[in-house]
Amino acid sequence: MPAAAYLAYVTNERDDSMSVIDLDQMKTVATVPVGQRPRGITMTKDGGEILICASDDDTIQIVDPKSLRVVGDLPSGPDPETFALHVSGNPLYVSNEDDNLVTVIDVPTRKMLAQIPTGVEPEGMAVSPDGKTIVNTSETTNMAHFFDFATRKMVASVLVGARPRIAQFKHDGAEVWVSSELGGKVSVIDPEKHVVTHEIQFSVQGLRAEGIQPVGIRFTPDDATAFVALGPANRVAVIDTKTYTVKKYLLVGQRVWQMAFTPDSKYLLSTNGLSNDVSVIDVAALNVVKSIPVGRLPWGVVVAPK
Amino acid sequence: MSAVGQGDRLRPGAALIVAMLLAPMLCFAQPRGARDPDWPCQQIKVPELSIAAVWSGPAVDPGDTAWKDNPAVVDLVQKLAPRREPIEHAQTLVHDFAQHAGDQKQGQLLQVLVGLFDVLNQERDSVMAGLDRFGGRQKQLAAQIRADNEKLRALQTDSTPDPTAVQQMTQQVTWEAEVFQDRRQALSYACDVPGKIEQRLFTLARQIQQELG
Repeated sequence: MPAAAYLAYVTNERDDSMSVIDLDQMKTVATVPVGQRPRGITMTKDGGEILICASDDDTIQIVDPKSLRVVGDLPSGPDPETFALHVSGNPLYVSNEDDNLVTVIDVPTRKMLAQIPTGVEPEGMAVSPDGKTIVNTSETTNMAHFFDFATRKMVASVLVGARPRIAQFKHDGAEVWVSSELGGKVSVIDPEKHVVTHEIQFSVQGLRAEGIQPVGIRFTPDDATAFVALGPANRVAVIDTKTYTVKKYLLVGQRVWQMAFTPDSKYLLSTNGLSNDVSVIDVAALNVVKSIPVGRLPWGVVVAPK
Repeated sequence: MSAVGQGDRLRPGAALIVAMLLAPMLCFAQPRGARDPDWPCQQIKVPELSIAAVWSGPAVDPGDTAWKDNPAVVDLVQKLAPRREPIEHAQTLVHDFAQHAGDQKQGQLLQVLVGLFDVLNQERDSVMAGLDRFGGRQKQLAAQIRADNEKLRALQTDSTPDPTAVQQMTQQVTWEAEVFQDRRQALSYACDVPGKIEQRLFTLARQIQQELG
């Protein structure tokens, strides 16, 4: 059981709802209605607001974590799928899949600061820790596109595996990792030189290659270990970031999609879209301690102190 | 009055289907990057189940047929497999079976796992084959609609249009487009079935894992 008291918030894409998990009790304690097709979810740095991409409502909803009510929205641009907060907590960068844009929002004033054209059909998006570079993946071009935030110009495009999904910077900014759902691999990119330096392949005994579809990526705060969610392989791969080798595969739930750490990094939570649950991974022991039922098609997760 | 009257135009729904079929990028509900041209679902096709997708416990051989010689296991598998059996009840059945298995627990439960995998995999195979056939037929129908629409256009633009022929062909294209659309709607449910079977297998495998401790 966790030492600190945390709540996890999970978007349920098919139920238009958000589940609230109490990590002391390890169970869902509330389910609240939100906008249509909720996907990306994050929390403001002060913990005062939960932000949810309500993709089919073309808005980002602001949910008060105390009352669990929708209290406002942000001018997200159309079909927001996912977003990233700058490490300082502001601004918010939103990926608009249908309009091929990244929308930049000033969270305190709820104003749109900029819209930056991106690659065709942007999927995943990442912002470098220094805020200077935006990376977005395009499932049409199979590329990771690099944009300079100051000039708003594309500075490089790097070819990755088929149907790239998530881009994630290491905390030190030295690498950006891109998962390719159909390519079944993760490409490690040097964000200065814009070249792929390593490719991480996955193999689970008894599983066919097409059953392994990497999606979500998370790094431990020290960047020593990476976790990659492998979709219908129902597993999370644990990767040593020095050697780029897989140390372990953890069986979690079906169609594992996104992940989030507890603030103390003791636990990693994964959303499992087909088994409709969230698995809790003990990060030190590298085992699954619990699977907690939530709504249908859980997509995103964020964890915060109670 | 023109030779081709209002009644000879395609209804809006049918016209939309025809327009979709004529647009090269949208000619079939096909996910990008799909590897099987006849696969009609949005979900990425995973041709067969593998026990590794649901199991990371003690090694089992999915091809081992020994479970079929164990009447208690056969009986349990037959109760667990049907999807009409509520999953919670199926989980209770696994639990009760484990409680009564004594020191044979591990061996018996692993046989249940293999049996369940065998039965559900076969069921899923027949669903997948059906979806493939469906996808193939839908493609044929799409080609037919395109061809008939070409004929309709030729009839309409003829220097001396034959109103009866135009009307007949309009009706035919409308009917084909409606069939196409109805089938497409039925498909979204059918495409969920393989996933539902996997879900059942996963939940019960997890229950077996839990009983093994």
